[in-house]
Amino acid sequence: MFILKLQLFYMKSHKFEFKKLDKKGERCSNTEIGFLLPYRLESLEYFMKKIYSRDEFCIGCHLCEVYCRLQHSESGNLLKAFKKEFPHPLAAVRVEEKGNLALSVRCQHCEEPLCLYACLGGALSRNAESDMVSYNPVKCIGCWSCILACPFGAIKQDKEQKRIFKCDLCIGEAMPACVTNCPNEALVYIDSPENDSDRLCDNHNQAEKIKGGV
Amino acid sequence: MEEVKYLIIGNSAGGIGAAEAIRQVDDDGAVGIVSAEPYPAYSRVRISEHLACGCPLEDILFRPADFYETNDIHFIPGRKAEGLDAKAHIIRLDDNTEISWQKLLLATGGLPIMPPIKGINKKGVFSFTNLDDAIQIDKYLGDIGEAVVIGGGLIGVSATEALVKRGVRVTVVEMKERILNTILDEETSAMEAAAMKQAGVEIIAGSTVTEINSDKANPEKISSVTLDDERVIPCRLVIVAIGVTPRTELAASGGIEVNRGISVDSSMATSQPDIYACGDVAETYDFVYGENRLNPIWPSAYLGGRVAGFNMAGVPTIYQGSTVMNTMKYFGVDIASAGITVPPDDSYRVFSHRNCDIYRKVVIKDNCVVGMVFAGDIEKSGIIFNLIKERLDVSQFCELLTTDDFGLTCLPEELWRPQLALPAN
Repeated sequence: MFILKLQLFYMKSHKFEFKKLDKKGERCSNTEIGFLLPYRLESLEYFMKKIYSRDEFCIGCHLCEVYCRLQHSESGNLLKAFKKEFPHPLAAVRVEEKGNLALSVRCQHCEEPLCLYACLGGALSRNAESDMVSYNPVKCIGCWSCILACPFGAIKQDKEQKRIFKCDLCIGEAMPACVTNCPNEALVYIDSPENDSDRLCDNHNQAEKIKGGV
Repeated sequence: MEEVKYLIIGNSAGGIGAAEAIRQVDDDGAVGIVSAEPYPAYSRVRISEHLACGCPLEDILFRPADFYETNDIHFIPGRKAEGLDAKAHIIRLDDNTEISWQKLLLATGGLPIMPPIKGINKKGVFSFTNLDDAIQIDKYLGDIGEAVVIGGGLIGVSATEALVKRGVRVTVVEMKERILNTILDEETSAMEAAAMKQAGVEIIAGSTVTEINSDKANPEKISSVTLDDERVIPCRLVIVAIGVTPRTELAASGGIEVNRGISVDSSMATSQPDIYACGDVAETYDFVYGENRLNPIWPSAYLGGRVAGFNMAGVPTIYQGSTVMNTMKYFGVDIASAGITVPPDDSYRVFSHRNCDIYRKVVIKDNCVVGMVFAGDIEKSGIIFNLIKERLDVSQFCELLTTDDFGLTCLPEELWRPQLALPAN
């Protein structure tokens, strides 16, 4: 967040400074957003912490789904969460498997959130503090407009409550439950997708610390 | 005369999308939004909730009530823009005040079409596109037990659902052979029709209303409608929902090129310099048809507005286009559809899968997905929609698109790895 603010300050003091996108960036924006920004604004650069999958370590155990559901249950009890609670708590993450490939998919809190732009009720918004795409269950009318807009299929239908359910990064927790409880460290919660060994190391230490404290 | 840097005519998805984009890159330039309606930005889709259960205005706003304040936007509600002088950069409002602007966005939306049916001007005949319509129907409804909805499109079905929730017996009269025929295929259309019939709605397809009748004793009030086959359907309320037409008169008055809607280029600019258009009023690029079309849907209005806003603020941005995309949940049936759902000829390939209430269909042309309909389980519909948008060659995995375990892992890695995964060691 600090860096983001710094960037905004930089923006204001220099008026509009543009940085040309490289080829890879163009491809990214093409996939992720509904339009092309031939120039990327400095302020639009993205520094939010996100959950990334390391599919080479993912064995498709689905524990991220289990712990996500537990985290979002009323009781906080595994058996009750799966068997007794009504409305049923849902997992905001989905594990896909195909052959040897296993991939844990959840909301990526995109830089250009198409779900937010498609939201008819104003339930989705960019959280000013955390920068994540957060949703307000009271405002959600279950129109599913965001579901059709999400290129990852990352938004869930809560059919019992007739509204959506999506990743909230376990706000309030030190680390998202799926990351903490991934037995193979196939999930990381870091602020850049670059293969930075220090960050991965931090991620490892923090996950261990949280697990040790439970 | 008031002066603003950016003036936006229209206060729904397109207008708000533009305002938010402008504020993302320009904190200081004065922004004005003119709205013909007296309300802050509310969700038009939710007017049915107002009619169904009296949901108040505060609940159907799609931005917080202090949106205009926090974004330092001069909001001018309840004023219609009547005159446009493109050369002088001046807009005249219906109270004869004038506003001068540097960049203008026309997001004036659409106007409900009222067909020339005999008796259409009678009391008790309503359209159903804005909050005032819902408020007026609510006031008029009283103990009315029977209504006719003309038009089985999204607005018609939405109005029907609201009336059913109020305990009204509704007859839907649809001109074509089935309801929602422009956005759904036969299967999903039949699923929706079955759910409606279950809820007590009568659907008369392939018919039109030729006259709206009144009692001789009480000529003020509606008593029935007559269909083209001479059938008479008793009712005391008629909702006309046969579609909307772009509100282009302001643009035309300023000498802007208008086709069916306002013509715009890939930066959402109109034929006149410094004037942009988006939303239901504009003809924007459709990536399925490869041409500019009217796409009166919320997401393309917002995205078009966002692109226009960036361009107005001097950040060159290109609109990638959109296509018709709709989701619905009327009468408990969840459906997502996009693009071409019924192939017009046999040059298209269709893959479909049905298992009870779960239905998936994908339409492919030249190895690219050009349309889809999902019902029941629609969580992965967005992945397919993205394939339509990307115009990706799906020939290697087209059989997988409608299967139960279809997902991102069925797709080429470059579609998901950059966003979801860390590069492997």
